[in-house]
Amino acid sequence: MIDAGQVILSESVSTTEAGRDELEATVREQARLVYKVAYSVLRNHHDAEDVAQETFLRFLRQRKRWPEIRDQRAWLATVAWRVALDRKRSPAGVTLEDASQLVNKLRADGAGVDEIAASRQMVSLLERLVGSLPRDLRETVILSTTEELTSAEIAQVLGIPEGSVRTRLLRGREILRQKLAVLLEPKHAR
Amino acid sequence: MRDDERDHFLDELLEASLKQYRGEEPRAGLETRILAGIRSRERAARRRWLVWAVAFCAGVLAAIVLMLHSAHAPIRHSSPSALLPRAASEPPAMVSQPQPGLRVRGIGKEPRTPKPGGRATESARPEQFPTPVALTEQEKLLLAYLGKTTKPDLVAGPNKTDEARVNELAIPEIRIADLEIKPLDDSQPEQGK
Repeated sequence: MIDAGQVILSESVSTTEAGRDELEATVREQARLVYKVAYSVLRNHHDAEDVAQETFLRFLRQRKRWPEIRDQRAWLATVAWRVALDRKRSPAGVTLEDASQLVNKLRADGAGVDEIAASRQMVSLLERLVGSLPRDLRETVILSTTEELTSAEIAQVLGIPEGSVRTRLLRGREILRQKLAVLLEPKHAR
Repeated sequence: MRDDERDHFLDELLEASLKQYRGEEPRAGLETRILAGIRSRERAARRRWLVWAVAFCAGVLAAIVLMLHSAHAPIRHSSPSALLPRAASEPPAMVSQPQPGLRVRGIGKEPRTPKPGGRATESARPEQFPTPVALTEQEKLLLAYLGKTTKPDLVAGPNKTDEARVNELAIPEIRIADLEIKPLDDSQPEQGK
C-alpha cells in the first residue's frame, strides 16, 4: 500500500480525461472530509481550503499509484493532516487567564452552556487547552473533533491501533475537563 | 449536591465546546474552488514545461545552425600548402622566369589591376589554390638530399660529438717544444732568512 507521506512534490502534473473525471469525483466526495481535517488543525477557513487544495493536488500527482491506495478516505485524511501540521502556526496570543476570566463573566451574567460554548472566548480557551495536551493525546482529540472520521480511520491516520485511539481520547478529555474545572472554579483548585 | 451540579456543568460545557470546536461547515462551492485551483496549477506546470521545451529546442537548433555554418565556411590556412610550387597554369611570365629559393604567396606577382568584368575573371580561377608550379633547382636539390638521407641521420646531424667535429676541422698537428729546466744556482743568497 502506498504511504501518504511518500508524495513527490516535484512530479509534473498532467492528467488524462479519465484521470480528470476520477479526480473530480473524488473531490466532490471527499472535499468536506479533507477540509474538516485541515480545519481541525489550523482553525482557519482560508488555510483549511489551501490545505484541501494541496491535498488533492498531491493526490493527483500520485495518479499512477491510485490502484495501490486501498482506503482513499484515510489516505486523503492522512495527507491533509500532515500538510496542515506543516502549516500550523502558533495560536493567537490570548492567555488562559484572560480567556477563563471572560468565560467566568459570561457564566456570572447567566449565560447558558450552549451560549458559553459558542462564545469566541470559550473557543479560544478550549483551543489553548487542547494545545497544552501532550502530543499523542492532542492529535487524537483534534482528529476526533472531525465528525467524518471513525476511530478506525483516526487510527490509520495516526498509525496506531484502534484501541489506543479510544484510550487516548478518554485520557485527553479527562485532562481537558480537569483543566477547565481549575480555570473556571479557582476556589476548587485551592 | 453542589459538586454534582458543578461536575454536570463542566461535562456539558466540555461536550458543547468540543462540538463547537469542530468548526463551521465549509463555505459553499468548496469543491469548485478546489478543482479550479488544481486546474490553474496544472496549467502553470504545463506552461513551465512548454517554456523549457521551447528553450531546449531553440538551443539545439542554434547548435545545428552553428555546426552547419562552420562546416561550409571557407577555411583559410597559413599552412605549408601555401608554400607549394605553383602550377603551370600560372601566367606565362611567372613560369618563364622562375625565382630562386622558396616562393612566398604573392611575392613576385605583378600588382593587381582592375579588370573589366571582374565576375567573369573569377570564374576562370583554378580549382586548386595555390596553383602547383614546377620545382626550382634548389627545391629539386633539397628533395634529392632528403631522399638519400635517413631520418636518424637528419636528427643526429646537429648533435655530432666533439671528436667528430674536431676531425672535420682538419687541424694540422700541433707540436709543443721541450721544456728546459735549469738547475738552481746555490751561490745566490737565501731570501727570507
